Amino acid sequence: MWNFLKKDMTVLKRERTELMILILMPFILIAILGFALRGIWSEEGEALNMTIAIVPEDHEQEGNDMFQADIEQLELSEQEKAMIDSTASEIMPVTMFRDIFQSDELKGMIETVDMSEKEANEALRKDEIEAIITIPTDFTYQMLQKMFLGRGEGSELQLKVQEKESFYTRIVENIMESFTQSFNFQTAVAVVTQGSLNVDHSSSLETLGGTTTISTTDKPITAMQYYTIGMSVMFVLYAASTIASYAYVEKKQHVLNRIILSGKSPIMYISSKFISGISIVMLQLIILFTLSTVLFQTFEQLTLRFWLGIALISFILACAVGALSALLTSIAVRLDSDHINGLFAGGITTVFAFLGGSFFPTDQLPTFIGEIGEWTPNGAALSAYIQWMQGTGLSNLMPIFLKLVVMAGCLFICSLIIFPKRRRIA
Amino acid sequence: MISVLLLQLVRMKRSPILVLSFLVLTILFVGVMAGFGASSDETETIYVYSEIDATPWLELLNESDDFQFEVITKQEAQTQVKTGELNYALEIQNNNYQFLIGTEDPDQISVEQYVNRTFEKERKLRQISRVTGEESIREQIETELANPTLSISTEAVNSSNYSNADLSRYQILIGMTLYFAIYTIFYHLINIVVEKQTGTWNRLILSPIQKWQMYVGHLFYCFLIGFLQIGVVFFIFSFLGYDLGAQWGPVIVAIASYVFAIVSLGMLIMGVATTPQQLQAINPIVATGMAMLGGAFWPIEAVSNSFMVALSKGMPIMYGMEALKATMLYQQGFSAILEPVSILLLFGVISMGVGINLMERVKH
Repeated sequence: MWNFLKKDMTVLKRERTELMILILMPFILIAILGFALRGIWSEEGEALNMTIAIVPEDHEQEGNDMFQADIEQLELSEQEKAMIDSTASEIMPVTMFRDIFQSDELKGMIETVDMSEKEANEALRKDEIEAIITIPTDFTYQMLQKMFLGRGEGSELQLKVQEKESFYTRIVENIMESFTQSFNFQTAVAVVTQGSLNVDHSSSLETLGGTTTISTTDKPITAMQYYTIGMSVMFVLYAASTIASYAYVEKKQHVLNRIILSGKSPIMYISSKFISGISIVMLQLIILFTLSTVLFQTFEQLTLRFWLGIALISFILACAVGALSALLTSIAVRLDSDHINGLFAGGITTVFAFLGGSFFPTDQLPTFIGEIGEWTPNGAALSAYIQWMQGTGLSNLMPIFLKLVVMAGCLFICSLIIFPKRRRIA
Repeated sequence: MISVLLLQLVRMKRSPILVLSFLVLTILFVGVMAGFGASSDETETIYVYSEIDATPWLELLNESDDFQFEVITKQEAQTQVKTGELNYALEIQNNNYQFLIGTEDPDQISVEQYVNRTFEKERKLRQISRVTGEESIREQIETELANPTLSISTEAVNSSNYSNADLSRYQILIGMTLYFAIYTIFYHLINIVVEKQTGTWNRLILSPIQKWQMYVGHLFYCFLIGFLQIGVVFFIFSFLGYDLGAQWGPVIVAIASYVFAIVSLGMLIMGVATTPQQLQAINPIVATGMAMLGGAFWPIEAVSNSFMVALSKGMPIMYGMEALKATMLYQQGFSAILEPVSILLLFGVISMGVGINLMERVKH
């Protein structure tokens, strides 16, 4: 047994390039995407960064003056005119609209630039900006007309974007809708109550919204953490096909036949693949987690207890992947073909990664996908890691551990059954 | 050249399992993820829990076209957020709401904006009816709001007839088809290395056949397999409720240039790695990395980071996606795919040149 293991390790050590790729490539990928994610979700919760062009075709003051001139010509009492005049001159819709982008919430996320229509269209085409907001001619004038005199259709803010349903479009639309809604609401209230009621009493209400977390540390899992774990549990799966691929070479070079001739039990051979799998996965996970903690401070909790828990989850995951290596070895030897490893590395791993939530949580997919995903080694481990990081006790993770151990056991037994009997190894 | 190609085809006929299994896998996967048949105009589901009777709030929230709010129990919400099945859940309180967050999620921003707006309006309405004590005031305000002073019009440069849910289905179909094709192509390219190892390659070199003919024979075979896989998947899905546009010309050109670029990339990798086992380890990692960075798994438009955007411009799959989306989704013709197609061809020629050079150098 020990000799087999030593042989496997020596073979792997000889193939240094491949080992490096297996361990370092995922890290490079995590690093690249991690840097990118930092930009998207930075520490201050600034979830995005975008530029919007504003095309100001309206002149607020002129619009106001024009409206005042209109009022002068109406047949109203001087008192009414004076009242409309004074109220209307306070309404600066363009300034109000621009101010929302200067608020504390939006300031860090959205930058606004004034452009001419031509410049803006050019910039949108070149992807330099994410959206154009046009404040059309007579915007203020038409709005005042509608507000005070009920004339006309009111005014319209024009939004121009690349694609209608994109992530950015939704954000900008939402911001604009919030503005128009509260603007229209105030206007409606003013009209209905003839200005006798000021709606801006919101200060008397408790503040709206807020967030809580489940974690005992009171911090949600950051995107970087989720991503690091999601990718790690996915990339360890490649270890299984790599090990089985080497087993196939041993079969082809008659190493396996010689081993069988020497009277050693196939169980020994399979077990050595199982343990090699565990070792590689552990090595991968240790390097991935250590590097991302040291370089990116992915995991901030540095207590011994935290890391012991991580190590335990990693070990159990490693067992499941080790058993997968054993199974793939058996199939490759039995079918005398490397195809199964190609299929596993290419297709099945990706499917597992999606089902198990390595790329994104499964909540937007049909429920049964999430349920299947819990039965993939990576999905189960991901869930265990996330719960542990949020401060769940180990005893609550028992069902997941049990699942992974049962999975490992079944896979290992399958591999023993599938492994060809003595005389059938041609 | 033809005989090398025929040899490969005979080999495939003998063991068609791999080619077929990738094909079946792609179809099943796209089918499960994106659904067979026409979309039921899916909306994003947000899970809500509450300790009070939240029905009035839910009715208001569900007036949205984009979101669907569904009630689960508090315990379910907590467990699902804790296990990472849900990134967040919404708690409705008496006159307020709160998000229970497990993992940060950029999509939550627009949900929160929407919920905030709905709550703010309703709270103000309630407050006004309370202050004024008039029952009818609510209706008066609603009537007034139905005829708003200020409105928004949205115009898109690239307009399509597709909804958000549709776009993501097409994203999955195109992205996954291109992604799985990489494996098929890379896997068959390994044959060259295997032939070199087993000595077939050397024996063939001794025959009157030219070396370029051998390369072309192999590469054309890989090209054919990749092209057919993509073509068959699209063809099948065009009968399963996906409208893939009627312009077959640009679609075929786009697929062909993408497959060419991937075959060349495979040659470049083989110039670096020399044994089939090394390739087995490198290929999936390269393919997955490229797919992630190039936007095959999620739309590249969702990425704002300039570093990521710059990286994605180096990924052939990005141009493949761009060209196919332009033709299939936006019904644009040759002029729209000219740029991505020429970049793919340039990429292909360069990596093919470098790859073959490296391989030949290793030999001597």
